[in-house]
Parts: sequence; C-alpha cells; structure tokens
Amino acid sequence: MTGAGSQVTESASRREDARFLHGTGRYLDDLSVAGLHHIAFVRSTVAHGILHGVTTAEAFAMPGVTAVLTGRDLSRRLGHLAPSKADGGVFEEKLLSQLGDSRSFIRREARPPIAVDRVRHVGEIISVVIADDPYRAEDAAERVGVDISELDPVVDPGRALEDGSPLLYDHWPDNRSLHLHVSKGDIDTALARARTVSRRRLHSGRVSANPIEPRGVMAAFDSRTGHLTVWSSTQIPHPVRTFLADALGLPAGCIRVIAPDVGGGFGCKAIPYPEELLCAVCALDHRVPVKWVEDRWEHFTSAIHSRDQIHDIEIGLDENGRILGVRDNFIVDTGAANPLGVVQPYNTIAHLCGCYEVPTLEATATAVVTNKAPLSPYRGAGRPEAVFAMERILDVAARQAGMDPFELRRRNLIPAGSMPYEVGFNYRDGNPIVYDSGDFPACFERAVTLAGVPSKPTRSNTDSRGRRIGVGVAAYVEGTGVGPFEGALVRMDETGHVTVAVGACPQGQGHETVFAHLAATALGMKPTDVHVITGDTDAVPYGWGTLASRSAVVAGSAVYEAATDLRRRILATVAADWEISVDDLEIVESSVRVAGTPTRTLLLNEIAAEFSPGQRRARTFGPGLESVSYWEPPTVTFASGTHVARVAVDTETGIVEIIGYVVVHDCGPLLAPAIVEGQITGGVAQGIGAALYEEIRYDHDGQPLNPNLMDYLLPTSDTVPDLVISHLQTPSPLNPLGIKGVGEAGAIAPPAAVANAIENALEDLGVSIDKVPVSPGYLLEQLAVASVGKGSGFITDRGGPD
Amino acid sequence: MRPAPFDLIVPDTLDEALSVMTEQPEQARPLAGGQSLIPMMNLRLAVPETLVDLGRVNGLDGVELRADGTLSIGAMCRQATAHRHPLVLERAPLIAEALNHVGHWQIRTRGTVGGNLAHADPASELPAVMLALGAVYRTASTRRQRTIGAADFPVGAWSTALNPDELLVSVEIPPPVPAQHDAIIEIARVAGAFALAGAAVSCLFEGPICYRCRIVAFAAGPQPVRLAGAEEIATGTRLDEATLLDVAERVASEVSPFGDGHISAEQRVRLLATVVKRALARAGARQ
Amino acid sequence: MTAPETRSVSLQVNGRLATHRIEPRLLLVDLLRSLLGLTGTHVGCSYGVCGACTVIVDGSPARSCLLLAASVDGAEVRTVEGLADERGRNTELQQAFSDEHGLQCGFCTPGLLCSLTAFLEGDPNPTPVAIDEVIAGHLCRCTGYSGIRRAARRAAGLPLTAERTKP
Repeated sequence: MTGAGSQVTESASRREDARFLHGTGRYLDDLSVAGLHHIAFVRSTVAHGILHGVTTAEAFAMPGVTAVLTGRDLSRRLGHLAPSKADGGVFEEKLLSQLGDSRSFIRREARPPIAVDRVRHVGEIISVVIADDPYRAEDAAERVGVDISELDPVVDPGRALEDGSPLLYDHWPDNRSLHLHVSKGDIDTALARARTVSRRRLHSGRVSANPIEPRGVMAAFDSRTGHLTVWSSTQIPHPVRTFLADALGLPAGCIRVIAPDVGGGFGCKAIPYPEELLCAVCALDHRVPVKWVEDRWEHFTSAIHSRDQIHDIEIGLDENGRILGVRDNFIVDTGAANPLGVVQPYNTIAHLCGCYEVPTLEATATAVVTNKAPLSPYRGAGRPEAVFAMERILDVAARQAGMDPFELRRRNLIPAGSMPYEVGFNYRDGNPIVYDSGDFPACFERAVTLAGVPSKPTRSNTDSRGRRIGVGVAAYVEGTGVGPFEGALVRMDETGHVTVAVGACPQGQGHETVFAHLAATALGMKPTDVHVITGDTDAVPYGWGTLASRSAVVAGSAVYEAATDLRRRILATVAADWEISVDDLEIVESSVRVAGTPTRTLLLNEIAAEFSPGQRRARTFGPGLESVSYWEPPTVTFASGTHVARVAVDTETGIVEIIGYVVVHDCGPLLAPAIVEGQITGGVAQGIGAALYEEIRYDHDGQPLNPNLMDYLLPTSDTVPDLVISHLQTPSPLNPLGIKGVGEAGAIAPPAAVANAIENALEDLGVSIDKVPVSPGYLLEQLAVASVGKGSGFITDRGGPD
Repeated sequence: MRPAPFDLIVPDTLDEALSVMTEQPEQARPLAGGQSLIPMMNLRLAVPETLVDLGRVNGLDGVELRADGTLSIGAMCRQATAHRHPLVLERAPLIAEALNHVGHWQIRTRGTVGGNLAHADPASELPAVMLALGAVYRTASTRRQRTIGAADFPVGAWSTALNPDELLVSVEIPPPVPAQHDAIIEIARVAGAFALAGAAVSCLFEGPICYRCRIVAFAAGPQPVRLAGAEEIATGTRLDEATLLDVAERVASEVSPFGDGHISAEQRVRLLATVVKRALARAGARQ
Repeated sequence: MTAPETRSVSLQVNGRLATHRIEPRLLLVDLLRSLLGLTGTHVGCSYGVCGACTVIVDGSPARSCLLLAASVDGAEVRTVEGLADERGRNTELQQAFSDEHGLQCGFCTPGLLCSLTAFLEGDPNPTPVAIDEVIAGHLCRCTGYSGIRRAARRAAGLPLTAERTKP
C-alpha cells in the first residue's frame, strides 16, 4: 500500500489525455440542452458614472430575443453580491481579530451583480439580453441604449489615497478597502543600527490570467423537480453553489453546480461571479435554459485582474551582511472590488521573509479601490509580489554593501537544521507561520550549480550578437495546501469497482489520474478500475475547489484517508470470516489474501456483492462500502525553491531574451513527476509573462488600453526556454502523503529572478529595474535615466548585426 | 465576437467583382483572405453591408514572370504560397524574408499578398518591402485599369489610393539586378506580434561599394517611408560600421513616428535607427 | 426586418459530406461546432491570435474563427476529431503529446494537433526551428510549451532536446 510519499505514477500519460487529444473533452461551450438560449451582456464602456437609465425596447424587438433585463428589473430580486466565503471569508475574521492592531481593517464593498444606478469600471454588467442564437443575442445587445453621466474616474492608486479624491463608494470615508499591519521585533532600532539600509519602490504590474478557455456559464431549471443546475467553467463548484443558494434564497440541495472540463483557471475562475448568478436568475425567472460564454474583451474587463502592488521596501544589513530588519509598506490597487479580501495582500506579507532569517519585520498593506476591473489572486496569489520586493531589495542591498548577491543570500538562508522554523507571526488561517520542512541552502546551491554560476561571476559579458548577458536568482517559500478542508468520497459498488468523488475541481492538473492511482494503491486495485468524479456538487456533499496549490495535498489526503478507511473496513470483514488479524491481510490485484500466501484469496467483487443491502456482510457490517473524508489540514505546508535566470539584453532595442532557466524546488515526494514538472513549467511561463510581457494598462479616464491579445502579450513558445528542473524531496510532516503543493510555485520567482538578471547584465551602467514587466519601453527608459545620471547621452552598446 | 449581418457576393470573375464594386461603391467591401477584416468584423469594428468574396475569382492568385523580367504576384496569392514560391525566392527573396514576420504560418495559409497590401497597416512589412523594391501596384475598376507606384499606394494608416470601386489586381516587382542584396529587420516583442519598428533595405553593390540603396522604415508613421537622407549617406560606401552609425543618426532626423502603449515616440525613433543600421549590415553581409 | 438571406454550402468534413443552409455571416468554427457537433475545435479569442480554433482546410492549417463558412464552400476540412484512424487509435503525434505531457487542460490542444499534423504531413523531416515556428502560432497557457515541443520533436523523429536558435 501507499506509504507516506510513494510515487503513484511514473508515466507522463494521463487518463484525461485521450478525450482531449480526440476532441471529445467537454468544456462549457460544448454543452447544450434542449431549447438552449444564449445570453449577451451589455457592459459599461465608462469607467465611473451615474447610470440614469437603460432603454431596451429596440433590442427587445430584434428577432429571436426573449428578454432584455436591466439592473432595475433585477434589483429587487437580487441583493448585493455577498462577500465571498470562498477562502478569504472563512479566515478573515479570525485573522483580523488576531492582528490586534487598531489600524487594521477591511471594508467590504456592497456591489450589485448588475449595475443599478452606478458603474465603477469598464466591463461592469448593465443589461442582460436573452436570445435564441448567439449571433442574434449580440445583434440585440448592440441596440440596448445606455444613459450614463460620467464621474471623475479614480485610476491612479496613489492619487486615490489623497484627500479630495473622488470616491468609489460614497458612504466610505476614503478609497481604502483594507489595511493590514504586521510587525515582529523592533524595526526602528534594527534599521538604526544597520551598517547599510537600502530602499526601493518596486512595482509588480497588473496582470490578467487569460486561460485559453474563457469563462462561461449554462443554467437550466427543471420545473418538474424544482432543481436548478448551473454548469460553470469554475474552479470552485461548491462555493458557487453556496453563493447561489444565498443570493437566490434557495435550498443548497436544490442547486447542482457542475464544472465540466475546464480549459485553464489559474485563480481567475476561483471566485463566484455575477454572471453565474445572472444566468441562474434568467433560467429561473424566464424558464429557458441559457448559456453565456465570455469573449476575450469581457475577460480583460470583467474577469479578475491580479498583482498590481507598489512596495516601498527597506532592508538593513549588519557589517557581516546579515539581515537586521525589513520594513515594507505597500499598496494594492484592487480595482472596483476585492472579492477575496485579505488573501492576496496578506499572502504577500506572510511570504515576505521568504527563505531568510529576518529578525525584525514591519509590513503594512493598504488596498485601494479604483475604477478598474476587480482584483483577486492569480497563480502565486501575492507571493510573486512579495518575492519581487524581497529578492530585488536583496540585490540592491548587496550592491550597496559591495557584496556578491549570491553570497549575501548564503549568509541569510535559514539552515536546514532550523526546521521546523517559526517565522514569528501568523498565517492567514490564524496559525503561526512554521516552515515545516525543506532545505533552503541545499536548494539554493543546487540551483547555482546547475545554472553554472561561477563563484566569482564575471558580469556584463556579451554574446555573439552583442547582447549583454546577466544572471539573476530568486528564492521563495510557499504556504500550500490551505484549508479549510477538502472532501473525498470513495465508494466500492456491488461489482467491486470504485468511484472516487472529490470537491477538488481540476483545470488540467490531472486529478483523475492522480486520485485514481491514490485510491487504487490503497485498495490494491488497478487504477483502471477506479472512476473519478470531479466538479459536481451532487457527487460529494462538501467541497472547496482546485486553487491555491492545494489539491494534491488536501484532496489527495482526503482520498488517501477515505480509501484507507474503506480498505480497513474490507479487511475487517474478511478478518472476521477467516478469524485472523487484520494486520495479516493484504489486498493484491483486487483480491484479499493472507499476506505473502496467495493460496487463500477472496476477490473484492465477491466481497462487494455481499455488502448490498440484505446480503450477508451487509447484515453484519451495515450496507454499502463507502467512506467519506473531509480532510482538514492543520495549517499550510511550506514548499520552497530557488530559480536562476540567465538573460540576454539588447540595449539598443530593450528586448530581453531568457536564454537559460533553472528551477530547483521542494514540494516533498513527487506523486506524479511529469505532472509536477508540467505545473512548474507552466508556472514559469506565466512568471516570464509577468516579468517581461504582461501588463493591463489603463488611461487617465479609466479606459483599458490593451484589452486584447494583440496588445496584451502572452508568452509564446519562442519566449519560454526549455527549463532545467531538479527536485528536492523533503517530506512534510503535516499530511499522510508527506507532500506539498506545487501548482503555483513556478510562477512565484520568475519576475524577481529575471529582473535581477537584467539588472546584473546592466550593472556597470547603473540601471535599476524597479518594475515588472520589463517591457522594451520601460527598459529603454531606465537606460536613458541611468545615462542622464552619468551625464552622457543614450547608453548604446555597439550592437552587432543581428 | 461574431459578425453583424451582411450580404455576401461571391463572383467568379474579376469583371463580375468590379461590377459589384461599381454598383455599390459605398456598401461593398472586398474580402481577400480575411485575416485582418474578419477579426474586425468579429469585434464589430467593421460592419460592411456587402462583402465581395474574391476567393473564387479566376486568375487573381498567380505568380508569374513577365517577358520583361518583372515578377507579378496576383493580389489573391496566399502569403504562404508566395513565401515558398520558387520565382519569389529567386527574383525577390526580400518578400519571402518579410513574410517570415507576417502573422504566423496558420495565418499566411489564408492571408493574401494583396489583402495585406490593401489593408495598409502602418506596422505591416509588405508595403515597406514593395517600396524598397520599387514595385508597382496594378489596379482595376470597370472604368479603367491603372498602375500606382509603391510610394503612392498607401496614403495613410489603413488607407490606400484605391478608389471605392477599384480593386488591387497584382503587384509588379521589377527584375533584380546583379549584386542586389536586400534585407529586412524588425523588432517585435513576441513571435507574430506587431512590429515596434522595422526597416526594409535594398542595396546594389559594385564590388564592396553600395552604389544605390533604398531604405524604408515601417511602423514609423502612418505609412512606410523612404529615408532619402540615410540613403544618401549610405550610398557610395562599404556600409562599414562608421557609416552605419552616421546613417542611424540621420534616421533620427528623418522619421517622426507615433508613440503607443509599448514605446514612446522618442524610443521608436531610436529603434528605427537601430533597425535601419542592422538591416543595412545584414544586406552588406550578403554580398 | 426581413429574414436573413441563406445559402447552401457543402463541405467534406473528416471525410463526410456536410451540406447546410447557412447565413453568410456564419463562421466556419460555428458551423463545425453548432451544426456538425464537432466541439473539439475551440474558440479562445475570435480574432486569430490564440490558435485554439485551428483546423486543416484543404491540407493547410487555418483559423476557423476567421473563415466564413460560405467562403470555404466545397473545401475539405479536417478537425481534431478526424485525426485518429477509423478505430480511434492515436496518431504518432497524439501519442507523443500524451507521452511527453504536451497538454494539461487540453483546450489549446486540438488547434496545435491540427497545425502540427498538417505541418508534418507536408514536411516529414523538419528542423527543430521550423517546428518551433509552427508552435509559436498557438497560445498555450498551461504547459509552458516544453512538453509540446518535445512531443512535436518526437513525432518528427528528432531528439527531444534541441538547441533553439532564433532568426
């Protein structure tokens, strides 16, 4: 059976692959039901304004149109969007009470799911058109008239904080939606006694998740059963069900939420959305099944954005290069709403110290509302921003102290012998932050070795094309496998086959493969005899979802626990029959036998048949072979790693190419190495996007400047090198499998590692990289700034012919 | 993200197509490969009343060598076809080189040479290349046929000298001369993205000396532009490093490009100087 | 408002003739997905950038979101559903995608399979650089492309790791 940390599958092939490779996967837009109608939303093209009225008559008269609805039609039916209980909400009160700091607070915006009298960002829903065909729904949506008078928009988060700024929410005293303050030790004294204190303002740009499958919802009401079924391209079916039940005043048991195959999520499908509620209302009130599929403009303007933090960070070092203290004061621009509250900003605080011993810390987060699309966690969820701040300031501090940045890190890494390591304040689940496992120095040294970084790096060398080569490092920790719980049900049917149902809801992570293997191993069966159901609220009563690097840890542990429990029950009945100790029995190839002696065996399907109600074993042990586990992690378990990036910088064009990338990481034992490496690689690609290409930009009027894939650049194949990946596998003591999450890890360190590498390449020019993405425009600007500082014209290397 | 309704006309001959354009000069819009027009229609930024699909018009997609050595590329020639066509590779390899940068293969399989030229995107490669090669555009309407020089065909951003009733028929590239070496360089952030700056050059050499050159910058303003001052500096030189630095400096005074969300106007000047320098260096290295 | 004009189009799709009366504005991708039920072809952006909707039209890859169904009347179209043999067995390329973890969520996969299938049929002995150029015509948000590159190289009989040089 699976002991702690066993690998479940070596093969890269997954059971999900066949349907995806043959076009028989079923994503949201592939679903249909009889009589299906289509929804097009009319959305605000104004960032901030008073909505005076919406005229629908002309649209309603268009062919094929069933209904055209406005906020005023629906306002009595629907209240405001309740603060989400998904993730943020469950821990929030506990965390705020623990902070015990009178300055800390959170304000929840009360936002209707459809604008009633106010619009607060381009993309906010104003009207709903239901038609019998998606083309006709779009035709009609163009005929909806919208009367808005514009208000002064709030765009710049710094100015949003100034006295006299226009307010997004009139009943608030200012535009702050959240303030968090955490400290340990006496930072003022620490910085006062430091030999060097280094300061920077560092900005992680605003990004959009952009899964290739956009969001989408289909809803149908069955008037016979009184049940509402909502299919959604979501990461969190169970929380969506709770949200819909609350908002619609329906029993949760009358709502079934199903996530079909989901074409990528990365966090942007991990909150309940207004569109889910509006589709459900249309299906209920108009008695037609409806479907809405997000287009890419809608994704850019109404799905959540992320990152967008501006840090003012300072660090003090002593004469030996040891960190004395870090003070970080940062702003998060949450746009018009911050549905998950503390999650992203507090994650940043919790991960700021990273792999290093930081004796004193003061961290302050201020979230600001602006007239932009809402903000919520995206792969990394506050950690890339923390790592960008910390790992950049370490490079700055090293330069100021005249030290090698690698050496500076070596002096401050937490030694392996210090594990478990208490950081000195609490995680957002209210438990002390404890790095439970890992070997940060070993990780770091292996990465440095694999990257071929010489002990005395020769910097600012060039390649054959005249580009400058630089190398940069960034290390990270990541609290993974966050609670509150995940549910798994393992049932053996009367034919001896097993069904596993989990609350986790994959978007390509291979849950079916991994969980089938976990259950099959525990039950001594072939994985092919195990069927896995994900993303269906009717399949397991309680669930949370697939987000936050948690599913292998939390759902995996739940599957393991439920399957192990089922195994125990099966063995107990056979042990009773054979009058033998359970410990002497094993299950091999779907047969129970006395360990090591294959002569006496009993097939699982024979045993299972006797658990049908009224049958022999059922009479003694109760009917059915089913076990449910709601696994609650004690707290997060910490994964960690070091990334080293090597870049080539063309100083004439501002174009940066990543020419080498090394990842050494520790997520504990690998359940499925190919899947782990796939998660890492995909995460790094998104991190490269954040480092070099991706940024949502708004103009002064709050108009998005690049809400399309021509102007918002996702990394293409030519921008992502083949990675060198190496695994450290120190087991976590916090779960039966010894594993730690890996879903987000790859995305956390690249912005810092790449920015450090670029600055290294340009070190002698005095160029500072204080912002990601490092676009050609930004890099050329920084080169110009540096050259002005040096009193010369443009810095130009003799770029050789291309 | 789906087109508004329109009437579709699918003529089989050029005459038929031209008749429609004459009858409905204001409403009719020609559809070539659709790789720029259909996205705009899906976004409902373009809402034509009538589309004239040129995909079935006979004789518009040929690549042929005329008796005088001119290479003629039909307006409806697919970009992917031109990209690998032996005559193009032999007579105007700069076009094939430029096509590497036009969208992706999956776009070039449908996109046409004429559609690209008539779309007249300021960042587009082919109009610049045609200018560098001294090409001539052949057009037709029911009233007349005419030719338009490459410098006069694009008249602004997304705007050409074509009248509303007129169609582009072909582009005619003059025969190459011995020791002609051309090159194109562009800077784009990721594969297939719009050029931040680009330059196409066509140089004639006698021995090591470049005795005539055309230097064209694109993504440099509303339409591609020849840089006469830079050409003057480059002409009569070996395109050595010192010359190229002088050329680059001159470029800065000859272009007045726009800024956008990616780079400022000032930065674009700098990039244009860089691409001109690199394109000349590449052309020079080919002799 | 008058009823929209419709016209008849016939296509060979995965070897079968399909004839439908359609509005001129119907996109090929909607014909495939809605009228023929071939939902393996996906829509990611509707303007030709992401590549998820790529199918094979008359032997060449094309964005089905950028083609009017009426414009390709008479064409031969292959979609992801038509790549495997009659018994549903993986092609070498499909198998390589699975073996090399060249897919995660699977949404971009059909477009990549169509592009690479058409490419490898036209050039059975490609260079790694040429393969990379084909892959660069697609966006994948999950894999970071490494698995896709390995899969394509494997299907082309090339070493799995390749030095990538840029033009």
